[in-house]
Amino acid sequence: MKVRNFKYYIREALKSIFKNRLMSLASIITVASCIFILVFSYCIVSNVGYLLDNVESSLDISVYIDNKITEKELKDLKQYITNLKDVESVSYISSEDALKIFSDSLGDMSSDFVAGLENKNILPASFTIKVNDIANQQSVIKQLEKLIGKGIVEVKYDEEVLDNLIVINNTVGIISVVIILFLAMLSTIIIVNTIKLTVNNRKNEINIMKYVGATDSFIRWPFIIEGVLIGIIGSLITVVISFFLYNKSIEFIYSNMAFIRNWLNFRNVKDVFKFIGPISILLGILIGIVGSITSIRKHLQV
Amino acid sequence: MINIENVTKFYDNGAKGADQISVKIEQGEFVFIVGSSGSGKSSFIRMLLKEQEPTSGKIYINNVDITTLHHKEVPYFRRQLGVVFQDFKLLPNKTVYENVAFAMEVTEAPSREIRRNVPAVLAMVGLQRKSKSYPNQLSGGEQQRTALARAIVNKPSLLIADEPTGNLDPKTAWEIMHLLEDINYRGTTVVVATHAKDIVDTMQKRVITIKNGKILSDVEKGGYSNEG
Repeated sequence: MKVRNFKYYIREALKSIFKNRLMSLASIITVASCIFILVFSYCIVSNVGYLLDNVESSLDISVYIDNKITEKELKDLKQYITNLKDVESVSYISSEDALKIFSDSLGDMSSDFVAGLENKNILPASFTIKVNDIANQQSVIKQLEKLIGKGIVEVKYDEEVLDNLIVINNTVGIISVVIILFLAMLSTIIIVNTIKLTVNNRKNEINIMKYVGATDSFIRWPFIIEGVLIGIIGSLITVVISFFLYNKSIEFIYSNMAFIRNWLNFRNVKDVFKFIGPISILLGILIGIVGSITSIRKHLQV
Repeated sequence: MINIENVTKFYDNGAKGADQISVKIEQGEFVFIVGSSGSGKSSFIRMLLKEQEPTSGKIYINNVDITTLHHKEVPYFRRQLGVVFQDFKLLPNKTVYENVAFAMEVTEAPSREIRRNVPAVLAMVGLQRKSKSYPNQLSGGEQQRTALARAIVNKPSLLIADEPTGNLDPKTAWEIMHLLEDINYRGTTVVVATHAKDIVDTMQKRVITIKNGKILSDVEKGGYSNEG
């Protein structure tokens, strides 16, 4: 493509956008709405995922250790558990650590109570075990339970929460696939219809270009650039608007429903848009290109 | 210039657009193609523009058989032609100047050349004062003159006009015909398909009459055949 032509293509694309203001606006709104729905559902899906991750990581397995085992046995035991399949990390909490954690959790009223315990610490030492994925939690638990009596007294985990989480995890997965499929379908329908409208507007124009001897690519380029510009504008508008909307909503929820913060954390707005921002704009450009190519392809056959 | 050999055109619905037509048109000629609607006149013009393909036969323009042109070569072929239609076919969102310049931009002509040639052809068709107007601000005659300016701005060797005066009043029709004659005097071969009997009779040019897809008559300095 020659530089002079490129300037011509850009000029033609810009002119066409301004001269067909209404149609351009309709296309921009179409692209913007499709991408808005995408960004919106991504925000929800990614926050649910984030929430699950948070809960998941607090869902450790605790293994209480027999207080009669030796240093060496303890070391071997830790090594053994660390090497189990799907175990991410194992941390040792001595009975002194356990007491400290316990007293911290009691706060002000702890001193008397803990003072009594310090002389004869009945809290057992334990391992806190993190599993790489919530789905593998059960199999790790089964393997750990085999160790009861061989240096381990008890395996503790939150059974109910675990079961619920696995269900939620699967449900969110299915729902997000359904939502995304539905969106893809919806976007396609909207875009195809917008294109049908543009095609009739453009039919004459393309025909005339052919009569004066324009090559296919000469005809195509301004339309493609027009599509790209519309895609960029539409997606940029969406990204900017939803960035502020997301930010404000979180601020609103945190400031008006302070209690939520204790058990619900939202993803940071920058983290969310670092990913979905560029994706949206790329998708906008793609929609623009596909839209303009489809709308003129038929008419280039003459 | 134009050499049509045994061209036959059948449409999918069985209609016959051309039946064994053979015609030669020399460089610099001015030729009327006449015939009633449905005679095959339009098929004739459309095949010259390579808008339609003949079912059989050959069409040579400037010694190139256009029936065998590849899709990619067609634009370059069309640049050697100037075309004018009954409905003008101007781009509604471009000014007179831009409509004419467009035909040059398509050929990737240098900007300097565009700035020089466009005003010159606009002056030739008498539209230098309307160059900033849009088509919907022009009369029919002015629109057709714009289309003529666009058709000749690339200095084609062949100008094809399909019912160029069909939408115009008689006075304006004559203005357009005189412009076509002018263009022909400057060396361009001109082929005009028309219904305008009085114009054909008065101008005394070569007249090819088509009926039922066949050439009924081909007369030097002829008039509008009554049978056509």
